[in-house]
Amino acid sequence: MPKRTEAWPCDQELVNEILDGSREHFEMLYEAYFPRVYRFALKRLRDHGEAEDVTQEVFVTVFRALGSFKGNSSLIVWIFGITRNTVNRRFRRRPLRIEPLDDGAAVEVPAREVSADRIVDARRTLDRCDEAITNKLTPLQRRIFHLKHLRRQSTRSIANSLGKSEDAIKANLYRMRKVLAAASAIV
Amino acid sequence: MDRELAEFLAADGDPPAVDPSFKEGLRRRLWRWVRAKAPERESD
Repeated sequence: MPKRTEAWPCDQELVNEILDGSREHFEMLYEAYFPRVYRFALKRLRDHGEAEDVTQEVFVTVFRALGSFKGNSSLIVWIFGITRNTVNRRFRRRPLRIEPLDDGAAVEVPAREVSADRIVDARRTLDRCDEAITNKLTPLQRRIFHLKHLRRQSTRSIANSLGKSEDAIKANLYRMRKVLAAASAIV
Repeated sequence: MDRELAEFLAADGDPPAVDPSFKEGLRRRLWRWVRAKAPERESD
């Protein structure tokens, strides 16, 4: 796969290009998110087969719903939400292990289900992060965010691409993290 | 930042032991589907 040299467009532009049938933009999205979705699923499900099922389900959902993506949220938060919900549904489908209590082999099994409270809290946190990315970051900061976290470019590479100093990029990254940390803080 | 979102963002590179044939197979199927839905393009 040739190294991607074209800059990552904004989310809505990327989506529009994919919907128009751009292979290059399809590859951008797939390569950016496949590792993230797979790793997230694998860490929680601890099974490669299930991680593959979840990854497939997430991407099918993403591409089926791409036409309804209107840029009201950021792509990364949107895909992260789909991934987390898909993993949670997979947990709920797992058969319960029944251990007889009077059996000496019975052991305490830690809960793997996510409680409803945590799901609600997580959703609220996600919404706040999404709102922060969309409304509280400047266009430059959103661009840096994409290049750093989705294109996985180094600070130096980002600085060269944008014609900024490395210090300026680092300062913007620091400010972004503070904005997102404030947005996700549980009150 | 939400811990899970931060983890999701930071994931870098394909995880070890991911089956390359799974990744490529999924890529092909998804692209075929996307391409079938897209309007005719002169070039990519």
